[in-house]
Amino acid sequence: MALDSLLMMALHVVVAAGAGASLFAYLCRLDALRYRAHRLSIVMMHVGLGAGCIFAGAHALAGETEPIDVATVAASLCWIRASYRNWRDGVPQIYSTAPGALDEIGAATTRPPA
Amino acid sequence: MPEPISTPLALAAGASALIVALLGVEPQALAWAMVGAIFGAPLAPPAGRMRQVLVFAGVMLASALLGTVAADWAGTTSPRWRNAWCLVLGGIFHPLSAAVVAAVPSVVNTLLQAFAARRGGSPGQQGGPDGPR
Repeated sequence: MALDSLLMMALHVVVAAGAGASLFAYLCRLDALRYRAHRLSIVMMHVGLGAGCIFAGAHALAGETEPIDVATVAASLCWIRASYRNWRDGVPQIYSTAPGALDEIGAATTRPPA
Repeated sequence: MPEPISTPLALAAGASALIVALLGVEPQALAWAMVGAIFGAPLAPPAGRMRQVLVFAGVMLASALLGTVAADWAGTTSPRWRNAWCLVLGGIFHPLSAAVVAAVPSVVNTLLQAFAARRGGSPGQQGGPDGPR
């Protein structure tokens, strides 16, 4: 078997495995996200990246991996890794649509000079 | 001389044939049902990781099957319409199933009342058509 076809097969396998792993991660994220309770932008970002992983995995399984598939899987895995510390204990409060507590809002504003 | 086939293409062809033979749905319908299930995942009640994965797989398979059946029922031969059915059904599967489950008691109650009316009394009555004893 030629080296280039061997490398392409390795790429298909890596992209398919990465797509499966990130799909599992996005399912876990979407388990905690709700359309009304959380900002639509953050919900749709996770839905979109999960859907991108599905198509990337389907392309990899069909042996038709393209650069966009590699980029999608890489971006999905990087977001999971980068946001893991903040999302470890659930959805961060800043993505909630519920109004914040009054004391937190007061602390967030700048006090006028005395 | 036959054309050489690469290993991933042969694997993909085998997997597609297996899906069609085993599940009776096209792999494309399954992929679009998966996308619909991703859209509907935030509508599902909260669950653990493994349960979420199992529910996702179940919704995906059910949406692919129901979408194919719905496309056949609607008389559409285009695979795009079938994929659209799968996508929509995957997205609304959780609210739809919750509505069906919520409607079950009233439907059963209505059926019981109709059955009792046919036999000549209401379900709360004792003693049959002559009235309570």
